[in-house]
Parts: sequence; structure tokens; C-alpha cells
Amino acid sequence: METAAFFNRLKDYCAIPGPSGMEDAVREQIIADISASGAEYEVDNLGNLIVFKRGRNRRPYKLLLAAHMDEVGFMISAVTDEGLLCFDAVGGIDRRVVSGRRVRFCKDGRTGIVASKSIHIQTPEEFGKCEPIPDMRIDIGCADRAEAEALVSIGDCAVFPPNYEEFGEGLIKSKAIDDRFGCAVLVELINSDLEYDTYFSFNTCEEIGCDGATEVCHRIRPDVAIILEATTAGDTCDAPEGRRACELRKGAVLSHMDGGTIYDKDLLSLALHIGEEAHIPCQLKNIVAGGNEARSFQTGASGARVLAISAPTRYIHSACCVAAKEDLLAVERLTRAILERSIPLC
Amino acid sequence: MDRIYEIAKALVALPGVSGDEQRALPELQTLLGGWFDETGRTPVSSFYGIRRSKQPNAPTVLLDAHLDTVGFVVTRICDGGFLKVAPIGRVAEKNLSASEVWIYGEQTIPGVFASKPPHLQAPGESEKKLSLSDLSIDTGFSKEKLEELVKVGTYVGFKAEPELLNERIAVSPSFDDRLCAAAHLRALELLGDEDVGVNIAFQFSAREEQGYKGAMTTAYRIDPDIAIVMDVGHAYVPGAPERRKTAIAGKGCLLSYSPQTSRRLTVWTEALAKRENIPVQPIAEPGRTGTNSNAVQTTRNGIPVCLLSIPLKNMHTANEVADLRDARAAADLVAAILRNIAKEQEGLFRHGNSSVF
Amino acid sequence: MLNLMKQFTSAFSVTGWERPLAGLIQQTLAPVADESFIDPLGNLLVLRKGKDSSRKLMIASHMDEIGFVVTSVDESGFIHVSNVGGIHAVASSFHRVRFRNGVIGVIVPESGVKAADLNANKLVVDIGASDRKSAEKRGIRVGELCAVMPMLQRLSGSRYAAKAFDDRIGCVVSAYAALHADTPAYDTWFVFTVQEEVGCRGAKPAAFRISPDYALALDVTTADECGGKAPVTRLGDGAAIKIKDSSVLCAPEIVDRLTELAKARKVKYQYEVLTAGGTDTSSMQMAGIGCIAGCISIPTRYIHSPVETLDMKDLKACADLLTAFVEEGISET
Repeated sequence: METAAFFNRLKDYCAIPGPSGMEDAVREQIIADISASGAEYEVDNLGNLIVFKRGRNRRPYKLLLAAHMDEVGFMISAVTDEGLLCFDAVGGIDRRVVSGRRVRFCKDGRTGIVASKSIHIQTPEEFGKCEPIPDMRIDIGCADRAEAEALVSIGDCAVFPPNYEEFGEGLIKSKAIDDRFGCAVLVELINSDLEYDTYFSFNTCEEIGCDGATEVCHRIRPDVAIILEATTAGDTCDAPEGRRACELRKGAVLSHMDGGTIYDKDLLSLALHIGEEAHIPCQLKNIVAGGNEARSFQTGASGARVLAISAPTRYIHSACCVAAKEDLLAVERLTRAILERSIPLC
Repeated sequence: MDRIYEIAKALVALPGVSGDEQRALPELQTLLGGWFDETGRTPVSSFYGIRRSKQPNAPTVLLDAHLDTVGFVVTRICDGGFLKVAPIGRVAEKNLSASEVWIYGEQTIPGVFASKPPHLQAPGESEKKLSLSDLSIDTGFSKEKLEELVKVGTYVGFKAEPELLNERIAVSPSFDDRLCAAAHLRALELLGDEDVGVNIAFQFSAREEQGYKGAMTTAYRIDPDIAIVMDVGHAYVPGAPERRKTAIAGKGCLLSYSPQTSRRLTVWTEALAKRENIPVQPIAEPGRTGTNSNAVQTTRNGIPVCLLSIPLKNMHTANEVADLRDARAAADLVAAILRNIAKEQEGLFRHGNSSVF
Repeated sequence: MLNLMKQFTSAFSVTGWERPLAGLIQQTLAPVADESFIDPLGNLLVLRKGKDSSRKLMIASHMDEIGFVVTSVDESGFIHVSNVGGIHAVASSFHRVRFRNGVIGVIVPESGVKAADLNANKLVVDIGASDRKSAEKRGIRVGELCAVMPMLQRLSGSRYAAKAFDDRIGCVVSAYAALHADTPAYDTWFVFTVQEEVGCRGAKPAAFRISPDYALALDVTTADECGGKAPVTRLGDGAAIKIKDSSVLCAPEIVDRLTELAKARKVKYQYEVLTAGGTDTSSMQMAGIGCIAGCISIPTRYIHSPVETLDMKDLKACADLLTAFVEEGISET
């Protein structure tokens, strides 16, 4: 794989605004990027993109690779008399990464600021504490309600502004690495020659409950589903060892169990084995936390065997996720190596 | 009398606390059987009716409202003819003292939630939080006679006494969600005999207040192309948070923008409402809508949902208040959607380059 | 039935690794099974064909029990764990545990943690290893599973205490009915589900696959304990017919029919209204086009502790009631 091209694509994908329920722009870009691959695709009634790529050989069962197109964001719920905007989060966002930040509107690229009372004028009770999101207001520079209502409608969405940048030694910071990186990996695989037939799905609405995955599962009925995700790495200097979940620069993350899924033990052993054989750095998650689309595929329709391969990512669901290039490449290599195998089903 | 109010009056008189919906089905069949080409009930006790179009390959539009209401279930029969109950759905305990209920046992009998008169209360008692376990229902029977009529597991609902405050404001229990069902049915009435090029399926779903199970299973069975879910929403009242000012009673039917509904379908619906001068109030629901929407949308391969709501005050109490102008707007909008969706569905449904799927 | 109880409660079957018990049950039911297989998630599905093959009954009891998963092993050889399912941390403390591979250890709170602050993440297993290497030599690594040691103890009269009556005892009732019932009314799938303790996950795809008309879950429910105000059920008062729990409102058709059968066959019964809890009933009720679903509960004290306690008389009543439903189905009126 051409790594420079891969990271360029990742940069482009991360920049596209696409909160849950509004993934159209992301999907259109992906369709353009796979148009020369010979793969067949369908966009379903809810905007999920399902792709089928023929391999050199038939696979005797259905294997599906999944990533989600949506990112966390914000939705405007009301306009105040002063021309400020009430809003709430789409997906789970910590209030402390929202207060005082910039947001970018999806419709027209307009910038807004999440107004925050400066500490100088806070009351003693408020001091140092962060107000809940429904109490926050977005300022788009309007003087009153009329001016604001001319620019913004109830239901309009915004996301963190695009800010992809490489920094430090081989690290990347950007909004939406979760899960545009997964989308970029799937696109790489769709554009290559595959050993076996494989299904791919780019799902909607993962951040609000893995809805797209549920719909795709019913449609495709995979026997095996492998989810590519970004997963939370808690490896900062203040975090206690042993409670970090996973760490940057230690490779692709595999897990026994998280808040939503107990992964198929045979698939997990196989992945670890393949990783070892091919010298791909892998690590096991060491706390039970988080969840991803595996839960929807495992219990959807008549059930599937599931595995998740994740990129360790710091500061997930914020304006600045941080990941290591080497880990993203490890995920791509491990996924590709697994795809090349005809996984025995017992 | 306003036609929607007339239909709603008939519907709120029916039993059907969540869990006990099958009790309403025979009467529903009588009331609504003639409206549809085919009617039926589902294993989870939803009622459904289908009107078929004569057009070949006509798409199917599902209209959803939930049949079940909040209420209570008997946990113990006590001395003196009192009943202890557990809640079904989220009920406001603070409003229950001395309120009237119907108990759906071997026969339907009236009951009253007991209340402690002020004379016997300790100072400050009425300010404390009241819990359902502190309350009991007085039936007026002896324990022995009561045990013949009622058992553990008998369901209890608010007494239905719908009333008009003036020509546009109505009050009743169970407007959640029977007022919306009435609006859907009124939309069908407005179409008359017109074949609008779509099959119309009406589902009166069970178990909404307990996990949306009726909606998902009935939608699974009907397998529609799109769905219009209608439920009640919270009308702004003084003291509510600022963002609720987008839902004012009397200003029209609410239209939800949410990742749990289809944005394409919602944008199309808002434009349609504007063209037809139907008063509509867009509201934002970035998280859970608390309605059947998500259950229907994620059923089968995914069914695009548009969520309409009638603004309601005092939800889940014996005295829910609605402005009938909003109900009329909802009915007009559903009728408009049904009339227009067949010819304008391009882009709302799936597309691709594949023969595989 | 006592024999089934002994065998089932001593098998290792923590949520996510139900294979040992699935194998045991599959073997036990082989003489009566018309068909039997294990699905991709590990659910065991056993079919006994009935008189009316146009209708299907699904019976679900879950094989998994709550337990612990290893999250890390530190340099001193202490094994840090997290909970699998709803662990009662205080109740689990200071017990012996057994790992998937048979290794035995003791589970204790980290030093200095107060009872009020205790949760599963602050529990540690000591297998007597002196360092990480020796723990790993004994096969203990991240992702391994353990549970409290099996225990079955006869108390007075017909009462027993054991760990994992939840829901091995449901499996016992289901297996008993599968072995002893006359020809079922409908094609009956006896399903032994996985991953119930983490959200009733196994039952949902199994129900989707079978698409039953009727469904019954068998699970434990809370019974009268010392100091409790309004007991949900009482030990000795018979099979509990579930009206509701917080995940499901049972079909009145099932409640009425079970009542009818209990009266006809002179089986002692009581009703259960639970404001908490969740069972496989819910998953079965909402699969596909849905089905008419209910639940027979076995009254049990001290649920999710190592000393769950029940009365064999209630157990027998549940088995008789289930057998009656399997044989007679829903009456035609």
C-alpha cells in the first residue's frame, strides 16, 4: 500500500463534515474513490453504503468488513432573542471539550463559537465548573433573533472544524479519526485485488446507537463480521498503568470483551496468531469499556461471529483525536492478512 | 364537533394499558374494521389495517401510532379492599392522590387512589416526594369480593373523561398516543376514495411504553417502504428549558430533525408542508426521540421514518392537554404526504450499480 | 432432577464461554432430540417435534453465569479482573474461584478499599503466583475467565443453596421437560442461550432463527428474604408465573393459560410482578414479527450471590407447569 496516498486520503476523509444522520458527503467521496475498483455497491434507504468486491476465489460463507462514516457533532435546537443558538450533542461528547471551542456548520461552512462565561465573571458556585451542554450557546456573530434565523434553521448540524496535522514523531492529530480511518482502510482494500470475495459496509449512525450496522446486518446476513474502529487509548502521563485500555505505538488493538460485545474467541485467537506470524504489532485491551458495531452484527438477524480490530486513539470524541501512523498501518496490514485467509468456520 | 376529537373520544375510552392491549382489540376491530381492506392483530397485540392501491408495485407507507397507555399493574390485594400497584411506563406519582382509575379485572370496576387528608398529615409531609409504594387504590369492595374480580397482574388505567375546555383545547388521559392515532385516521378520511398510488398500512402498536416492541414487530411484518410515526411531544410551558420554546401549543404539528429519523424524508416533508400552508414547527432531537421512530427505522433493512408530534401538556397524567389545531395540522400533513409521496419518491429510496444485492 | 442440578451447577460456563455446559446438555438430551445444533454464538438449540408442526414453541433458559474476566496480571502475580455480568462485589469477596482451565484462586478486594466503594474493578485474584511469569505459566492471561467455585448444599427440608442456580436451574427445568414430556403440542425448540447476563444477547438471534409462535423463558426471580418489605415471590408458594419485569410485559394469553394449566394439574403457583430485572423473554418477544411470550420463574433468594437458595418443591412445580404447557400448548377457543 502506498502510505503517503493513504494518509492523504485519511486527511480528506477527516475534513468532510458528516455527523450522525448526515453522512451524505462522506459517502459520495467514498463512492468516487472506489469507482475504478470494479466493486458493486448499493446505497440503502438510510444511506448505508454496501459494497461487494469479487476476489480471485469464492468464499464459502459471507465475510463483511465494517466501518462507520458518521462522527460526533452538534444539532441546533433553538434560537434565542439575543441571536445565540441553543444546541445539543449528536453522539456522546464530554462537555469539557465543547465549552469555549469553535464549531463548523455543515450546511455552509460557517464558523461558530461555543460561548463560555469567562472565569472573571463567574459566580463562586460556578467557578471552575463546566456547565452542561444544554446550557451552552453557540455564537455566530448575530445581534438578534432575526439575524440568526436568516442564517440557521432548527435541526442544522455542526461539527468540530477540520484540523488534520502530523506532529511529533509519527503521530497525527485530527477530528473524526473515529472512524474515517476505518473508512480509509476499507477503501484501500476495496481498491486492491482480493484473494476471496468480501462484503464491505460503510455505516451510518454508529455514534447514536449502531443503527446503520443493525440495518446492514439484516440485509447482508454475514456469517463473520469484522469491525474497524478507533478505540480509546488512555495512555497519558496522568493515567495509572493497567487502566489505560490500550496505548499508542503498541499496534492494532484486539479485545476479548467490551461494554457491548464478547468477541468470538476463535476469531480472536486466529487474529492474534496471524499477527504474530506476519510480525504485525498487536495489543490486547486491558479494561472492559466502550463498544462498537460488533454488538449489532453479533445479535442481529440470526447472529454472526464478530471481531473488532481497532486503532488506539487518544482524546476520542473531541476536536483533536491523536493516533500513531504506525498503529493505523498495523490495523490495515492485520486486516488484509486476515482477509487473505479462508477462515475456517467450526 | 371537531372530527379528530370525535375519533379520539372513541379511542381513549378503550382499555389497553401497556401489557393489556389485547383487551382493546375486539372493539377496535368493530370500530375500524370497515376502514381497511385487511385488518389483523399481531402476536404482541398490535392492531393493523391495510388499504391497498390498485397501482401495480405501489410502495407501502406505514402510519404508526401506539395503542398502549401508561398505567399500573396490581401487585397485592390488601385488607379493606385496597390494591397496591406498580407503575407501567413512566407515571407522575405526584399527581395521583385522590385521582380516579379503571381497574380491568373480570369486569371493569372504578377505583380511587387514596390520599391522606391535610388534617392527618405531619407538617411538611405534602412537600416530600411521593412514591407509588406509599399509595393504594380504594375499590370499595371487601377483600374477599375483590379477590373474585381482580388478581395480581390485573391492569389499571386512568378513568377516561375527555372534555373540551373551549373549541380548540381538549383534555383527556391517553391523548398519548390515541390523539395521534385519531389524526392518522382523519388523514385517511380526508383522502376519501382517492387512490393515491401507495398502499397505506396503519399500525396501532402495542408495548411502546415498554420497549417499542409492537412497532418493531408489526413494521417487520408489514415491511413498508417508508413510515410516518406520530406521537405526542412536550409543548412549551413556563419554566421549561429555553430550547423547548420551539414547540408551542397551537402553532402546528411538530416535525423532528434527528439521526433517529430520515433527514431526506424530513426535509422533503417540511418543504411539502410549506407549499401546502400546513403549520409545522421543526424541532431538534439529537438524542433519543423516546418514540417508536428508532424501533421502526432500524427494523428489517432499515425503513426511513418521518416523525410528527402533537404538542401536549401534562403528558402521562389523567389530564393531558392538546390544541386541536395542531392535531388538524398533523392530519392534513399526513394526507399531503400520502398524496404526494408516490410521484416524488425519487432519491428517497435506494440506488446503486449493483445486481448482487 | 437432583442429578441434573448437581451436574449443571458444577459445569464451568461463564458468559462468553458456555461451551462446556452446552456440550453436557446436548449429550443429556441426545436420546430425545429430533434435531440439535449449536449456532454461531454458541446457543444450543434442541428440537422435539410436535403433533402440530405448523406452530413452534421456543423455550429459553440461559447457560451463562456471572463471573470475572482478567484485565491484567501485575508484576507481583496479582490478577486484576473486571466483572462479566452483574457481579455483587461484596458478596463475591473472599471466595474461592475457578478459572476456565481449572486453576483455583481466591478473590479478594484490593487492600484498603471500603465495602461501600467496592466494585468488581477493585477485586483481585490471588492464585499464589509470586510474579507475572509464574501466573502466565499456569495459563492465566488477559481475557481469561473465572467464577466462584461450584457449590451445592442441601439445607433443611427440600431447600438447597448453590452458586449459579441463575440460570442452571432454568436449564434443569427445561431439560427435565424435554426428557419427560409426552409428544409436544407443537414443534418445540428447547434453547439453552448464551450471554443473557450481559443483556440477553443470545436469545435474540436464536429467536430470529426459529421465528416461534409462542415462547417461554425459564429463569430465577427474587423471593422473600429477611428484612425485605414486599416480597416478589415466596419460597414454597410454587411456580411463579411472570406478569412483568422491567424488560418485558408478558402476554396475558400466556399468563391466563399457565394459570389454567396449573389449576387443572393441581400445580402450586403464584404470580410475579418485578419492577427490576430482565430476562430472555423480552428478546424472544421482539424478534422478527414477534411472538406470544411469557416466563415461568423459579423463586430464589440471594440471586447473584454464591449462595442462591430455593425450594425443590417450587422447582418441581415449575417443571410440571412447563411440561403441561409443552404437552397442551395454548388452548383453542
